[in-house]
Amino acid sequence: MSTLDTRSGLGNDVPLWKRYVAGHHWRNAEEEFDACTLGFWLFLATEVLLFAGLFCAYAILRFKYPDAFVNGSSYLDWRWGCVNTGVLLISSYTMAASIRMFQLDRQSTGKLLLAITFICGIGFLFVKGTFEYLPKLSGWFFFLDPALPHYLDFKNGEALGGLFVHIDGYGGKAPGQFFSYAFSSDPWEPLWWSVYYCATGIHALHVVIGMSLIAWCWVRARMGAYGPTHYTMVENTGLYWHLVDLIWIFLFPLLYLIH
Amino acid sequence: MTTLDSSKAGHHGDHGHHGGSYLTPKGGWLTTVIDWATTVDHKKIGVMYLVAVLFMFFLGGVAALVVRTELMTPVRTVEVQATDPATGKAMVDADGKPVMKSEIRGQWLGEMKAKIDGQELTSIDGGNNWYNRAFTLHGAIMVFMVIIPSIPASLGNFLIPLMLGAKDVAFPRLNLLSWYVYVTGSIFAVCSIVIGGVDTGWTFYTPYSTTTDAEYANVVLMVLGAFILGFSSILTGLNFVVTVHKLRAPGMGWFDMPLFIWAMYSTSIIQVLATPVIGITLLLLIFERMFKIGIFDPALGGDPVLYQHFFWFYSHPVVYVMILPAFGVISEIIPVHGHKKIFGYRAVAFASLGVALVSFLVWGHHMFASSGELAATVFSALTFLVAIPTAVKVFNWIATLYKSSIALTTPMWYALMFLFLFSIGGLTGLPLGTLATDLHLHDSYYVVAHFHYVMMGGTIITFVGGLHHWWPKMFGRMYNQFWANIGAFTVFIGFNVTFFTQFFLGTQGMPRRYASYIDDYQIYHQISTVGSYLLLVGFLIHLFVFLHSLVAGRKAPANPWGGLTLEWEATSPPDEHNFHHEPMVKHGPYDFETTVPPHWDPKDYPLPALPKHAH
Amino acid sequence: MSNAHAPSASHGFDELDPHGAGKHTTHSHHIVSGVTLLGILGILLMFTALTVGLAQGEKWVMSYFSIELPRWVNVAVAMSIATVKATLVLMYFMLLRYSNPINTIVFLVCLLAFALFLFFTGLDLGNRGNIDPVKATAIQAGGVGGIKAGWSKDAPIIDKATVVYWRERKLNEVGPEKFAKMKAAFGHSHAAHASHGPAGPTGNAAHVPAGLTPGLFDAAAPAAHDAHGGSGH
Repeated sequence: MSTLDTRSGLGNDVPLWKRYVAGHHWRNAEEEFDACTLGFWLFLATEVLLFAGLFCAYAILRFKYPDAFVNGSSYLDWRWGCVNTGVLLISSYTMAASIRMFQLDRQSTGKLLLAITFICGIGFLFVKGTFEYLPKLSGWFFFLDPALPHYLDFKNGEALGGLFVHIDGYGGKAPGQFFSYAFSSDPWEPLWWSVYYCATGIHALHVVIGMSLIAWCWVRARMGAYGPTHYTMVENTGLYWHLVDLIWIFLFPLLYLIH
Repeated sequence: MTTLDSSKAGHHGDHGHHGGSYLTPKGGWLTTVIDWATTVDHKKIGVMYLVAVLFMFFLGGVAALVVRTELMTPVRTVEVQATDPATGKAMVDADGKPVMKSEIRGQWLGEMKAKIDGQELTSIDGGNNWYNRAFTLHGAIMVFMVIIPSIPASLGNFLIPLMLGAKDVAFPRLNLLSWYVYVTGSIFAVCSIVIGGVDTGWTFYTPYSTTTDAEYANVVLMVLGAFILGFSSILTGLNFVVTVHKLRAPGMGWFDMPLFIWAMYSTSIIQVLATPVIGITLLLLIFERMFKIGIFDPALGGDPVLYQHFFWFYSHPVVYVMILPAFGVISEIIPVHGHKKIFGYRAVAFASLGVALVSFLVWGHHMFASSGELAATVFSALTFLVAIPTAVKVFNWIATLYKSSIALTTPMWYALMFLFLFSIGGLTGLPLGTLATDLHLHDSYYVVAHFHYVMMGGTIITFVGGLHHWWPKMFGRMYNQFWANIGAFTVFIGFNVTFFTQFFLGTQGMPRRYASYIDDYQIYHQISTVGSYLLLVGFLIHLFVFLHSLVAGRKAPANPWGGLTLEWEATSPPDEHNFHHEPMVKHGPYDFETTVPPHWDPKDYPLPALPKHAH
Repeated sequence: MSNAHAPSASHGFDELDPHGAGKHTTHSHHIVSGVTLLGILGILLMFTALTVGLAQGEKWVMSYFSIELPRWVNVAVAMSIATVKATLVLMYFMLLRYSNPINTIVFLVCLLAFALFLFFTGLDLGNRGNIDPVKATAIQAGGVGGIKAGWSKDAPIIDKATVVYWRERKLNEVGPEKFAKMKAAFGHSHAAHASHGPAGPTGNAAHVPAGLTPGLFDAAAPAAHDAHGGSGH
């Protein structure tokens, strides 16, 4: 897609983006950019339809077992969901702004915004893993978890010098066969956890892929690969990152805010 | 002359001096291998797809022959008098009564297993399991690894840029990646066979796919293979859509495109929209099998029918991924070999898009026996919509044939066979779309015969026909038409003998996927099996014709049939960059009445009537 | 070699292209102003707050007035707001408003496929009966077990509903007193929900959104419908 080569004949002191020449089968760089964008939108369509399966499973199973979903959802803390929504929205903004900076040839700001986007991605995964997945699956709490003080009565272990605390009986909210939580109030709750982990897990996988793309963009940007006339890769990475945000915009209320 | 800038470059095919054809080796054999393995040239990738698909076709065909051979005889457990292994005489007990033992008769696959394991079979199940694996193997390979990529990935990759007058597809490196992804997926699937096979049927229905076989590696491997193949399909489809949108030659509007391109465009849209759903379905299936997440498992509240909906939301549209490219090929062969403008160009073009749209509305007709009454009724009504665009196409092809000057070349024979076989396939689909009759015919050999008439009689027949049509362009060699015709007739007869009998089997109640049957069915099964051997002979003839052509075939002219689409402007085989100059389109793809074909030489084919104002 | 091709082909080619196949799309390089981007972020954050607020408000209304709002209200409100947010992201962050309309068409076609998928699957599965009375003895709410109790290879096979199995195991392990305490601690804040509320006027809570087969689960596990106490998080 975005080949960088020296066919332009310009010297090495010229930034990479100015030396970019469209692939040989394109009439000009404009056509190539348009085609890459269209191709990427088609790819985004496939991503949406990939998640369509999960949304469909969610809809059917929630329709069948509304109480299991309401009960299951109430174990989730909407405040963490809210924090993560905010983090993703802000990262979407920094991503869009970063593209704008490359369009205006403000290289250092562009790179900075890319880095911030990446850090937001880390933040999202950290919250998801540490405050949501880990305690619910295993009963191990991060010592800074604000929910921890409520459960200290049932503490039965520590690890890594008190960094993690185990609460007896809290864990086991795992999908399907691995469900072993003793205090559930609905017979179908294992199913809710299956849907929850599949949906958020596959979403988290997309966050990781998006972060890898952003990291790659950052490395290339340091080499001066993107500028006003050539920024296809950043643009498409941005589209991907926004899609990740878009999916979360729907997952958040569907998972955290039902009652 | 009417046409292109590129025709200035020379005449009649032989412009090897222009940088050489894409087939010209770049150096020693190692250099050549590396060149092919890392090429981004759509023509080479098309040829690589062709080779890979034909190899998988061979594997799937072997599995089919195994299935048919097993069905020669019904499997029976009979009581026979035991023989003393020492003396070789019939054994009797102390009272003089004969000693009886049970023996399995007619189980060909059971014997195979016994030879492999070096031990006698004691139960009928061993052979039955082998039978299940053989038909699963046949189905999975033929659907996921042969028919879906057959025309789009091999002929499509080769022809789309040529027909559009482009230098390459939109994303050449993605194209190469999709070939590697295809090979990876195929290797996964083949591995699952090597380590013992899968017995779920190609649809991987739950609970077969989540509960059968204690060791789950096989099913997971096979499902993972299908999942990976989906990516290849998506990448190819995405690439084609963008290519058609962005890389048409100057002067080529949407309605100046060859109908093959319209068909491929519709195919690609389906691939892009439907394949991701099978991705998530197979992913959930793997989770279900490995972690028992319960979404498809009623023991945990899930629903196996949900799996069927997920599966058919992809797999029904994909039926049109298989047949639409075949429509495209037929729309090329019939006008070119009849030297007549296609009847109703726009109708045929829109019918392709219509099929693509309708394909998303009818998946429930695979599940009449398992879905609810309301949904089944709605799906049945919608199913009949499919008949409209397909009938529009068939009528237009027949109208094109009417009063055209038909040259009975091998591709034309194949096109005529297609019309015959596809009509049978399509019309026998009507009783299956009707709820009342379907409940009788569901999962019987009638269904097997129906979809083989459509999938094989439609797609594979056309694939072979298209290969004969474009073979001179792809490899620059002609083939022996006489023997190719012999092969075509053998395939045609073998196909009908194999599958027409299965309509009778099905209406009489023979269920599909059974290793055994009552004695009354044996004669039909035997006829069908003989037919399948005939099919093998036919395909072998084609193989030898093609191999002979590669080694000793006459050098092909640039335009052996007199086609007007842009690929005939290029040399045979085409140059590395397809055209010497970007072609400019000045006539329609089927304007035979007004245009002299490029590179025309009366030695190659006589023109039925010279265009009035062309000479 | 291709250096020579690309520029030469791009000139004077539009007039030969009456269908606009090679039309330059200069608008694809639109640069959105920084204020717009920030404004959109602000609106998105505001809508996030709104959707959370409405969900909490709805909960409060239901418990305060002891009324049961239909379930679809919750979904409809949340999905409407999410759709507005998604549209904003698509139009301004993903630049659909400024780029080639074909991209919007691609996305809309994809949503159409999504809608068909959801509609027809729902049409079928939404109309499937609950457990047929004839089979009620064979099928139990919560499953009949038959799966392994967890990861390990030698785990026992569960012979009853999963949830019940794990509850009984914990009860045996810690005894009823501690079990009740733990349940109170871990129990979620769901108790405020009118239909499950242990106290308060029940006149309006006549519609108990029962599970698949009402009462079946109560018989299997009486502990299921204890008062939901607890502090929540």
